[in-house]
Amino acid sequence: MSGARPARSRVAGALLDAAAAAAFWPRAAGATLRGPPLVDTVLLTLRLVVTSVPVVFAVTFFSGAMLTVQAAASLAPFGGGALAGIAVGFGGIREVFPLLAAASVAARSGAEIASQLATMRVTKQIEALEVMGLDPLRLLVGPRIVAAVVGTPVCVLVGCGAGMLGAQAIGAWQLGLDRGAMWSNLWSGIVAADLVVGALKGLVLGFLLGAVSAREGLVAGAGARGVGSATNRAVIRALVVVSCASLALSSAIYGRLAG
Amino acid sequence: MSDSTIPDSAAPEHTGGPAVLLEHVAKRFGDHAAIDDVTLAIPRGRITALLGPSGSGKSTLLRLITGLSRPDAGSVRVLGEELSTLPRGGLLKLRRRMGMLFQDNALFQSLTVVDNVAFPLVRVARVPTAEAKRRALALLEQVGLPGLGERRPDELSGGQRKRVALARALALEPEVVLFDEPTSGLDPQTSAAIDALLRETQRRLGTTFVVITHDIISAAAIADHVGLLVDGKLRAFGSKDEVWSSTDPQVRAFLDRRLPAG
Ligand SMILES: Nc1ncnc2c1ncn2[C@@H]1O[C@H](COP(=O)(O)OP(=O)(O)OP(=O)(O)O)[C@@H](O)[C@H]1O
Ligand SMILES: [Mg+2]
Repeated sequence: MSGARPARSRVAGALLDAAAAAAFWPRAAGATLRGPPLVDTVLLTLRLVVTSVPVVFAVTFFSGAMLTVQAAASLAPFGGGALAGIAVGFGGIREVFPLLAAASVAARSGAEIASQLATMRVTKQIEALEVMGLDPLRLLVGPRIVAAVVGTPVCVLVGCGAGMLGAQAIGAWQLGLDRGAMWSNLWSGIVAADLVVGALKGLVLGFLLGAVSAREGLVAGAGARGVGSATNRAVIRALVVVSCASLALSSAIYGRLAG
Repeated sequence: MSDSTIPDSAAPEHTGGPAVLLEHVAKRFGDHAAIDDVTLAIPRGRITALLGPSGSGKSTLLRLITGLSRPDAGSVRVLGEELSTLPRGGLLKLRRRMGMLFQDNALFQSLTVVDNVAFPLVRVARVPTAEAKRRALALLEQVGLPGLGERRPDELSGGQRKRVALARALALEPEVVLFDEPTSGLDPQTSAAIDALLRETQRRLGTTFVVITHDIISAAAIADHVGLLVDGKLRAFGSKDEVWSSTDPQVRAFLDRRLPAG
């Protein structure tokens, strides 16, 4: 039984840390309400979109293709290879592409947010702001949260488009499905509301990945090692939080339709 | 230095008292007492050097004075304001009357030198950008750095970076400037030049300077008053002559090991 105690206290420590991390979210939200500097906010938003879109595009394009191969293979025995488009359209647009897009933003831009803030923490630039009587949350965190909240929905929509392109591309080239039928099947089950929901999901996931990344950067430990491990932790935690939140949103929005 | 977002505090000005007053201040990290029952009054308009070996609690003391960390016991008063009872807005406002030089300068790496110095003017004092830049260039000239404004901090030498940090700390015309090891990591000649600059600047402005250092040569060159911190305790405090002629064995042990003979 001697091992139980440290294990239990490690679990307790992890829970406490998770609670402390989540306690930062309302502060991050508050920071965006105190008037983040406009120029920084616009530049950071553009930067987030421009740097994340290529990653989002690659990840969702290949995922769309991959889903299509699998769906077509599963449906072929029932004579419905072309119906793959319907399944991929639904599942992709509503679930997979938004999640993968947000995860890609977390990996690309969340990591950048964390490493920038961690560097500023480690080199005392954040304390320098505080000593000037300025509010680092308003000046540094606010613009980055806004960038994530505005930029992630854009990335989600790009991801939905890229996923559909990936599905269409493999459907037409490898699976030899009829191009016109494939494309119309892909979009057949999707209504404008799905894209709106996707964008709203992107907004929530963007806030969460921004807040998680910013918090890990702000609490970085000393030295270059502190920056490295803060960045690493930010990506891992943002991925976990974004996945959980994505499921929570889906079951809240679509769960009722299943019953 | 007015800022519309922070209302003027109703507290009266205490121009007479010490710039910084610590009473029975203690700060612990775990079971280690980094600052142990320190009482000390730092006079206005002078240079006070706080000496002490590495790990004696000097940086911790500075963080307590800026309100970046809170004491476990005792009271910290800066410019007449008790930090522990000050609301956050009041603390931010008080900090605008202080300047600080960090040990590693803490310059904003993404900004040019002139923008670093103009930053507090633009962001804190809301000075228009063009005017702030003009004033920043004048400050850079005063600290002996004309013509380097467009460089980035990482394109400067250690001594030059220190001068930029001084210009930035002076930008808002603070009443107290705190220095954490201003000459550490500099060669003796550059150290002497920075010491001379501090001395000259303080004499010109009449501002209160609090200089943390383990460098006795530097303290001897610049200080009017000297405090000696050992293991978190204040072992001596007084005018430079008083401390230099102290007979306390612990004070002598620190001074004699480091003061040049004769
Ligand atoms: N955040 C912290 N957590 C734990 N211990 C700390 C912390 N900050 C300082 N200490 C400890 O408190 C003591 C005093 O540290 P401090 O940095 O104030 O010393 P110093 O006099 O500035 O030293 P140096 O001349 O090396 O900069 C040291 O033993 C240090 O290890
Ligand atoms: Mg120190």
